[in-house]
Amino acid sequence: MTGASGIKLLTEDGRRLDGRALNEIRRCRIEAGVLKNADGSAYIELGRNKIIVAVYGPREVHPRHEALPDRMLLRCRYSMLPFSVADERKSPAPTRREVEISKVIREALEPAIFLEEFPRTSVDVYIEVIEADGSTRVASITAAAVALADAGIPMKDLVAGVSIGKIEGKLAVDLSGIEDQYGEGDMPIAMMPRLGEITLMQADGRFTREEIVQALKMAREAILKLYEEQKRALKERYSMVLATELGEER
Amino acid sequence: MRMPLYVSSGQLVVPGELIAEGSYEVHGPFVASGKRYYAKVLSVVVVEKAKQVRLIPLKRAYIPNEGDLVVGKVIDIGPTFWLVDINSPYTALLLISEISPRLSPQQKEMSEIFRVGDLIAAKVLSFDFTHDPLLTVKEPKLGRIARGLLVEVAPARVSRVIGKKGQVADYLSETLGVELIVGRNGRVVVIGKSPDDETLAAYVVTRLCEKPYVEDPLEEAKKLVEIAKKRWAA
Repeated sequence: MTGASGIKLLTEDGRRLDGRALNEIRRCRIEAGVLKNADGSAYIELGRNKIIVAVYGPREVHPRHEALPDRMLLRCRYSMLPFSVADERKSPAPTRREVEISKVIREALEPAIFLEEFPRTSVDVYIEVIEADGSTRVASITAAAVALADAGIPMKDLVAGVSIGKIEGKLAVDLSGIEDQYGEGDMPIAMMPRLGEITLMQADGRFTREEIVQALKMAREAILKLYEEQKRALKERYSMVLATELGEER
Repeated sequence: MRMPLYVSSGQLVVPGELIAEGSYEVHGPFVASGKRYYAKVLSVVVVEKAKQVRLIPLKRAYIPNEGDLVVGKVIDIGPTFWLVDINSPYTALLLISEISPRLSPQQKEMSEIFRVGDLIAAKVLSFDFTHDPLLTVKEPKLGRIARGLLVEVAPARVSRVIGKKGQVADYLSETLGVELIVGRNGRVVVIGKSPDDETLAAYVVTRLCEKPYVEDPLEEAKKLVEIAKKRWAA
């Protein structure tokens, strides 16, 4: 059977084009504190996606009139580099899509941050997609949470995200670019892993009630895996700092 | 009743990670939900006693506190105040009333007292998040810093340069023959008789603030002074 597009996304033995099982996420590697000039930063590779996130703050708000009297202002900018996409070079000007994704990422991160801790300040999150291969908004959220923690921003929990899609009528975790393009649906989901609270849920395509319940279950499982990688990245970064200081003198 | 501790000394915790459950005394940034304690920022854990845990944040912006000594940089002159950068998300104000009884001075007079770019030692008079922090220079030893070497360290770690009851700062100024102005905002000024003295002291201060956590700052300072002296002798 093939999907609505007529392109075959599953092999006879039920594997996906890149050999993954339906509930399998792509290889994910996160690195924390990759930039010296930012207050916090993170780099994520999820399959072929490569995304770098820089966090600045808490700092004084510019322009000043945007400052909020009772809480911190969280600003996000998701942007794709001209060479991040396979087809024609993307114009560096922010597209409507990027503006929207910036907004949903901000809303996905906001619930995890103790914004009231530093009134009248801002935290700025800059997300640069170096190479894109599907599910970049959720990968950006996963990396941004690590960068925020690295910057020392007070948070309730980290946030991690994954996309659930429908290919040839079956639910699949972590859509690749091609699966997103030719599949029948895409549902990006972000959660606070420990609390299990959903902070982002979008969908295009058709999903039945049962499929949504199943999708959330699959997302939760994948997000817990990503959460482990987030923690590993943060701990590795600082175990290096701790190790270099033990004893040895320069 | 079970009262588990989920962490051990030297461990790193991420925001939202469970620290302990039960009657614990937790210091540092945490969130409690009932009797469960969770980390709030990226921190190193120090188990001080059986039921006492301290979380030491790895990074922290300087938030002014009433009475803090800070080292500020004058960035602008207003009609009746100076704007002072105190290495914080909040820019401080030093009002003219703190210095002279004249309420509407001439611009020229203002810059005769402090000019843009001047480094000043000041105390935080008040701060409550709704308004910018106010500074004072009314106490002795406060005011313009005419010379010295400015060292910038992490605000989260600067307290170890002071030490318990100022022990570390006293020790450093005595053995190294320098005067130290330790701003809570992570700015330390060392004033010595020669540039060499100042560089040596600056080296010790920088190294002292490198580690995320030191158990005994005074011991650490003594060790670093030894190392620095050897390096400078060579």
